[in-house]
Amino acid sequence: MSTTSIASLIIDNPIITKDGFFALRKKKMLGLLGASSVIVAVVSVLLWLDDKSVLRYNPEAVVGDQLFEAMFGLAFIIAGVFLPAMASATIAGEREHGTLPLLTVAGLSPSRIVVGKIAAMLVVAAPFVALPLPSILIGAIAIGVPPVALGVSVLGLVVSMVAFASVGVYASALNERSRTSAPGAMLGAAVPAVFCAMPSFALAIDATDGAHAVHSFVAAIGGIIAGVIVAGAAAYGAWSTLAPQSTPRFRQATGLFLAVTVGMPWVAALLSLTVTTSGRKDVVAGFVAGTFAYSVAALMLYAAGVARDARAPSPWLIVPGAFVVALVSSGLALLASADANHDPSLSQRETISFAVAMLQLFAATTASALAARFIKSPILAALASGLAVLIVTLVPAVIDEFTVGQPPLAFVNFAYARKPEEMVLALLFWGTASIACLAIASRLRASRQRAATGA
Amino acid sequence: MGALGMAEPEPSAPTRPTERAPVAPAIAVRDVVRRYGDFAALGGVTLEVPRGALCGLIGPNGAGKTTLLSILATLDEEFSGEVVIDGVDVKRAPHEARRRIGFVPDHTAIYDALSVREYLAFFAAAAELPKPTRHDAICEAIELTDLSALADRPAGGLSKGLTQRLCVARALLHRPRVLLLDEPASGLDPRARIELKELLKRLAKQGVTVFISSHILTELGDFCDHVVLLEGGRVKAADRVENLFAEAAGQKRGLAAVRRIVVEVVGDAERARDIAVTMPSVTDAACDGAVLAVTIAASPKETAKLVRALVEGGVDVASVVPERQNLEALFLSLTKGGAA
Repeated sequence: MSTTSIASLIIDNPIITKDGFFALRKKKMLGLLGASSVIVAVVSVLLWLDDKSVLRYNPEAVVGDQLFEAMFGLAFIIAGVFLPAMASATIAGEREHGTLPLLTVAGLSPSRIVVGKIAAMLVVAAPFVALPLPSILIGAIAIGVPPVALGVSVLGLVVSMVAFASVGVYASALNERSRTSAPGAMLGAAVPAVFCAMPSFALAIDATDGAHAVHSFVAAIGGIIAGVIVAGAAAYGAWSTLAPQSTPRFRQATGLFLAVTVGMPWVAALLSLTVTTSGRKDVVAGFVAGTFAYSVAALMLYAAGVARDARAPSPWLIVPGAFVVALVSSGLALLASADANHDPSLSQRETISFAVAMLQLFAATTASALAARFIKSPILAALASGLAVLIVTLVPAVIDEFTVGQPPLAFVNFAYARKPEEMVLALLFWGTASIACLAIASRLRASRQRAATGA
Repeated sequence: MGALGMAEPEPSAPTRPTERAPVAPAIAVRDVVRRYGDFAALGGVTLEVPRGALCGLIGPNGAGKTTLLSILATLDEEFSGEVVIDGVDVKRAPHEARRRIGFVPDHTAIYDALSVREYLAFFAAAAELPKPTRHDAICEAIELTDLSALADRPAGGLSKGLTQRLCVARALLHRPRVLLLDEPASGLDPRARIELKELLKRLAKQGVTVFISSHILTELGDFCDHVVLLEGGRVKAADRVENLFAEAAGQKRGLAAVRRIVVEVVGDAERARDIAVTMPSVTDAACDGAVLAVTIAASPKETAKLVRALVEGGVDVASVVPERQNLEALFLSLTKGGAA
């Protein structure tokens, strides 16, 4: 950083030209963009015209409501899927091609490489994410979304994009091959997805709903700050793996990334706790449940991906951290959901659904990460990962459907635990799962270290 | 084993009359140790490469050639010791050192989707060459490597030989003082090899120091003027090629200054050998067909005496050339089977 001026990070950064603009001129990319624009256009027209069709899931919505919500959601989904997946091939891809050392010898500083990769991904993703924007604007005008709320939501979208790209680039910096970095990138992207993209999207939805608008506005601002911090932490992590004398910095960066990503949800949850009105305790319970799921997911990410690197600190170092997270989250979840239960105006169901969604997200991405790690054939790994996603998505949904009003899966999710024995079971379950993952990671790391030393 | 050309040459080391002593070496390596766990890939390497040299780094597989080149190319900082390239310490000022280094790794690292010109433009921008000079630098590198006709072709479609030339063009963009090449000729056909050698010779003439590694000795023997022999992470020898041959022959016979010559005779080669071995300056002579290989005191006078003795003895001499090609024999004699 010392020898590189801030301006040279963006201006005249050849990585942005190569991986951004040159990537966009590829026929495959242009074809994908063309096909996506046709799909988005067709869906937009259907949403707009066919108010009474099967696409209309909310019979009370006004014309334009669906278009706005669905298209805004689509923009976030495109960003959340496209960016981590693309970014996961950036630095790992250079390693695979053997070009990473050349970038260093050519004089590209690690900061220029990392910033260039993130910016290049934004250049490639921008036309795709922009596809639904015209429909979003039309919908916003039709249903009267306040311009400030729309502006903050779009800012949240942009910050989420930066965070998605940064997390993807970080995952790719930690891996030798792009195939193994993709699951880590998708898993890591859960942080900006939950704590930056979702509040921004929620603001867009709640902007016309007076009771929730203020709360959502504050949450969205908090989410944007969280997104900036996550993006910065991930970019720093990526930089530290490329920087000279990487070992001590790598340790610091890994520690910082874990601290920030595991800590960020708690900041968001506490923020939500302080600004929430008495009628929104369910949101707190949801945040806490998601927080816990995410904390364990971060450990799994570490176990499945990061620890394969011989330079990483011992996985056993973070076991105490895992237990602290589990204990604190269980206490908060109990408080919040118990409070929610005593308030008849609150929807416990909503809390549970949110928690289940978080659990699914975490389980699905972890399954993908492990499948990619342990199955050599890419096709089989993709199939296994798809199957795992299907199972973890369907099973809780089915259980949820048949146990309305009753806390299902109390033994796996603290948000459902109501009794001390359920809490103990949940602790045991996740404690065992975490230790198992860390044990596997520890073995992988040891074998990699043996390979690295040539013993 | 005399490790010649090193920082502390042994007293028996021959002098190097062609070298300008006061000029700092292009590459100076002192006591470099690189460990992977308990294994020392480089166990105290010390060597110097003079400016403008075409220096070959030879050694068996696993000798530490790639490790040494990675360290020289500022890609590996986990070593102890000192490495100075063109007066710049690579550990203290890696960024400054990179401006003086052109590096061609042991694999052809290109971006398939970029054209030859775009590929070079990418690296010109990476090296932060001033914008107005970039176009000229790219054209010059393209011309030097004979890629003008292919400048707008995708780099991914080039043959292996052309790709290698593109890699050299890339390494030359910022006009480095030192060019490091790791096994550049592996996988190239004979024509591409010759073209690469000619290119490197041209560069050396322009004052670029070329440091090239290979385990294929014939590749280096006929065009390098210096050789560093690495084995088991240690320098076994480092000097001008002819000095090494003399040293190797001298070691065999206990003499300091001898050289190997190849005499092509017309007539009875065995008689020629018999004549040669009677001369006091000849320490070894062997015939193979019409060719006589002689180890003789390293003085033109002694060679002339040998020719006269042969002619007077009734053996006509068709040619006398110094034996230079046989780097394999030198390698084997210096590594003492450790290469196996």
